[in-house]
Amino acid sequence: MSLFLSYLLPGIPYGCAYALMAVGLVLTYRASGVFNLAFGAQAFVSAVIFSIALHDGWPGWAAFVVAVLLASPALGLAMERLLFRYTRAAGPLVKLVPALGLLIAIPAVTQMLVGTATRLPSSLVLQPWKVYFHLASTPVSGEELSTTVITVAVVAAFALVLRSSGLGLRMRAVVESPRMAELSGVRADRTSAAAWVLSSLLAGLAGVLLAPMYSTVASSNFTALLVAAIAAAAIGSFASLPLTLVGAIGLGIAQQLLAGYLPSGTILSSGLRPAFPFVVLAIALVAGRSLRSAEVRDPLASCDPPVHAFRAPARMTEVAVGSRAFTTLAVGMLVATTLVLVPGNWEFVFTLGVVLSIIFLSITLLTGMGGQISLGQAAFAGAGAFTAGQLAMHSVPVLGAILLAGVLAAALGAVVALPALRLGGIAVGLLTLSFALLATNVLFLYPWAGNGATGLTVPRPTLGPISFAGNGAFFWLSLVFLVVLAGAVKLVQWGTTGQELAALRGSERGSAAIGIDVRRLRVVAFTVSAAIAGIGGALYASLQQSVSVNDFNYQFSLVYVVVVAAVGVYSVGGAIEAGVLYAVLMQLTSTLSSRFSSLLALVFAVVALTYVRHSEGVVAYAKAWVLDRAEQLTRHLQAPPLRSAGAPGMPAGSGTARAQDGHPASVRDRADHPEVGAGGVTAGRSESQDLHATPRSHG
Amino acid sequence: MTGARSDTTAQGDVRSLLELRGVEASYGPYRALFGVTFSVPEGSAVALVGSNGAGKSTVARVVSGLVRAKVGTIRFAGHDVTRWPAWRIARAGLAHAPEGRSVFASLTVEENLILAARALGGRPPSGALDRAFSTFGQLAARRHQLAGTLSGGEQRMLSLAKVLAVPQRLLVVDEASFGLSPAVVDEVFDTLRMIRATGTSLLVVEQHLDRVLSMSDRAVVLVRGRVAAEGTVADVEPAIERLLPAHPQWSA
Amino acid sequence: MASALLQTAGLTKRFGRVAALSEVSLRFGAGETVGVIGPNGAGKTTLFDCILGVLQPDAGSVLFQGRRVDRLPVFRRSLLGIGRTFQRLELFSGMTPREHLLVTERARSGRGALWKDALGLGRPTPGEKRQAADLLDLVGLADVADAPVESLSLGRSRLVELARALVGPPKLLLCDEPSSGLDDAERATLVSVLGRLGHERDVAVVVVEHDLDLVGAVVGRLVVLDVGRVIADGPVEAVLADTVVRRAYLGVDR
Repeated sequence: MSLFLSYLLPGIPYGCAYALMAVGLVLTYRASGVFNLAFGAQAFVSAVIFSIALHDGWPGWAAFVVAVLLASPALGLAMERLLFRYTRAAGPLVKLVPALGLLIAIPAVTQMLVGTATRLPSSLVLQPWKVYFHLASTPVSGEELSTTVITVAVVAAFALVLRSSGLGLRMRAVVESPRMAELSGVRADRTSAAAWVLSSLLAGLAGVLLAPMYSTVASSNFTALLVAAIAAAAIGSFASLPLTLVGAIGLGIAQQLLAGYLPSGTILSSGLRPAFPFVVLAIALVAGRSLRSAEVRDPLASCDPPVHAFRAPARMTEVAVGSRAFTTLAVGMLVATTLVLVPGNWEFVFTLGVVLSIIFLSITLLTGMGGQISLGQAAFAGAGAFTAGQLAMHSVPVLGAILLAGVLAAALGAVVALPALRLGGIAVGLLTLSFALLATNVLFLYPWAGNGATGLTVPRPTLGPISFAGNGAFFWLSLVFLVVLAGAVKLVQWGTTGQELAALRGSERGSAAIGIDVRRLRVVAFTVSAAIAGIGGALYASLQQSVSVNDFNYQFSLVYVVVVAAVGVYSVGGAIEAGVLYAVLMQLTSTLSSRFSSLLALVFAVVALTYVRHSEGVVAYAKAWVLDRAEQLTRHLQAPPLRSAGAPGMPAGSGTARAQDGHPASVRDRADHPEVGAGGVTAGRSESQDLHATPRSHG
Repeated sequence: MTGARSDTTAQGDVRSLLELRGVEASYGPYRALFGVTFSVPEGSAVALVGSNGAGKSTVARVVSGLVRAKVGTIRFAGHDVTRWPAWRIARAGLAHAPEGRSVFASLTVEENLILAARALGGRPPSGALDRAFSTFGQLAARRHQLAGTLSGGEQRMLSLAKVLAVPQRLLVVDEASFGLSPAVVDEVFDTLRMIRATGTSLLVVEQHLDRVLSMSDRAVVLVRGRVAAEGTVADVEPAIERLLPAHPQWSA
Repeated sequence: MASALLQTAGLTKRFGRVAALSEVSLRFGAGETVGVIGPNGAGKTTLFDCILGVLQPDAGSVLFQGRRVDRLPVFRRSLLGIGRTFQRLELFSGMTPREHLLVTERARSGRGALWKDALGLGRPTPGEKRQAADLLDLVGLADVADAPVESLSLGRSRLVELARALVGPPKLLLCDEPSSGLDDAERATLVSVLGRLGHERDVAVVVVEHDLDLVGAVVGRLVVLDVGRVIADGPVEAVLADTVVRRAYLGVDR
């Protein structure tokens, strides 16, 4: 009994920290539809500020006020005002990418500001390691005591506010329907900003409370806290606060019990404790009420204009040809310089870029074409890499092993996709994230899989007499893989599967109504995407010649999504640009001091923040902008008096001046000029503007 | 919020509580209103009629600020409210009961009333809830029940009870009879008459023509996003006749 | 009517305490053209949702060609030959009208496969392109065939949905308020298309519509729903003469 208690009691403070953050997650999710993964970063920032302030001799209360009551809420308010209030009517990807970007960017910035020096966490009220009393002969430390008491008090106060205060009433109303709340005279935007401030306060508090439990203040610990909180929120179906609370504390306790009772020294005991929340998350997501059904639908949602899917504008022939020629030239030069001019390490960098492009291609297919979010692509890549490694160890030819790696990753993808079918949008992302965490914490550690931190060696392949051992030869091989796979993805995009995916992205109901098996199609997209990621991972392994679990850490999955989304998720070209850019930037930043080692992630994360405005990706946006200019110029050069006045077959609006809102003309035209679309067709009906209906009224 | 500065009291037509001039509105590329002009005199009940898809709901939404007018002006109680956010228009005394579900399903009956009373009238006047509950006995009995568990008729009553709790200057009702049985519709219209008797002007969107016309002083006939006729009920009779199907059986 | 094309028996659907459909039993024969009218909120769209499987009814059954289909998912019922347009548009944003029809032809024929796509065999065949062009001509959308649907007017968007539902062609076409937002020319197109379907292609058409002139021009039989119940079902003339119908639907005693 006392053994049981000695395992159980230390779990409670963990559970309390999870609970604080989980309550914040649920509150913001309900109030603004944003699943704010950046709370993990906010918790980290508060913990850092708190420990630095104490280190500098501040009194505890002052450090607490600045770290928890000021910094984190201010950060949350800034996020809501500057980013997330514009995403209310947007799709799940637009809500997710900025949050992911912040999750990566905020710790990176913090690290740059305060350096990487290890900082000892500091306790709040009581001495953290001092034992104040014994409970059934189990010592209770100050840390455990203060965390529990503070959490109970804060959560109780929170429940009271939500239940009976005016603010709580307004919040619950805004959660259900911001429009209807406005009709009742409630300022919905202020109320949802208040929800962000309160949730951020909870996240900051969780960070400060949790900090003393680890030996250093490291951002990864707070990401783990975040995922545990997500699992707790899933137990409460992302809606019920009491269930969330119970789930969180239960999680904390269960983790400690597992650590205590599982045989020590095994992978299960060391890996399952950190991976446990993900197992719970997966179960809760699959077995519980789905996120979609938990959402009470806003009866006034039809007031918002319909959300448009992204579509690349059609271009004038001259511009399209020029653009294609330019791209071909750029690619050709890149290939040529890689092989002839650049020093060896850059040869390696470009090869890495090609291999990463293949992995990123899997995101283009799944997210860009299929509209599904995966936060676990690195795990599929890892599965491919380790499969190739294991097969190579059993003397399977490496090229064959690379292809088989794709097959195994595909199978894994199908297994993950099946439970994801019931879920929509963000929930699929969370489920794949939990898979990725399980993979990096447990699966990849086994000798028969990734062999832990030691990893595996994967030789360079040979094909008959041809050896790809040299970097130049391997570059060619990777390029062939990329060309074949990118070509296949393009063909799929134009073929039945791609068109059905496009239809599904546009309207799930409409797709089912024309006879598309939506579930099958989703599984196919997941499977093919995982196969591509697996092949990319295997190539990566062969390029590096030795890989370990650290190469496929779950955090890479998050970075991958941010990178591809930032550059351009909707086109095959976007994946390749993202891969090459990422590899080159990685090489450039690797020479900087360790303090700036996160600069790379930071660059992409900051770019991702622009995602709220340019969901087609910044590079894709810039390209559209340049091509718009080029079209203008071309039209100007082509004898304007004769042809400029709306020549047939020319997009009549796209040559006009740049819009004030900063969108390229072709993008703006879609919204402002009905009938004159980016498809380049000029409608010959002026009376077509005369529509006579409320298009979305019910009846 | 440019309108925030122009809080000066009524200028122009004092008799009009609500006045729309040349209002155009659209949902994305779909245009719904094409220069709608009409007014609601203080103290009157105005019926807004028209076939389905004529833009009646859009008029209601533009008036309450849920949908922004692209062109034209809307004046309410002497203020130019064209650019005002919905909450501000609501606080100025314009209540809008949207079609379909128009109560907070996840709040209790009492909380629905308290929310409106607090947001619109600051501290809830002590008599506010009593006034609402004494009028709607069946709501009083369910005061701690979640509004989502009410029947359609009770939900409609609750949305009207909000207006009784805190008296408003104008009530815009969208499809008061939506999905309700005839007996309940009668009750709803009795309630509307009662609300009017307390001094609240009415703008009623409705497809039960006889019911709405019999309780209105004036009517606005909307056809394809434009006003086809406006005036007293007798004035617009010919336009309304044209709304009825031209089937021999119907015009007989 | 020995074997109806579609038959519902005792169809009931509740949302909370609100009954959207109560005990709706209807039969539609092959090639028949039927109008469904009723006040807003009478349950017309809910009826379509239950027939196609978008909603699961709380009670009752749906038989299509004599076979129980009420447990089948939407796409299976669609492949059996039920086409539908939506009152709230469910178009594939980002795609053009032509692409709408091409992807629908593929989905309905079941000829597409991933391996064909990867080998470059997934592009539309000349036959499919011709069919799509014919349908676009039929509904008068040829001039905007390659513009993204977001740029189309509401009326033309509805015609895209109509054309999409006609691919196949289906045996039963459910049209949910097809005329709302159409201008006069588009409306004339709609009337001619709907009118010809039953006669020439043996497609049964069930149309929910508020425009009674249009209904009168297209259908022979009228079903009236009010508060989730069928209150009248019969020839157009007789149903429109019914005072109960007139009171429920228009609220007039005239």
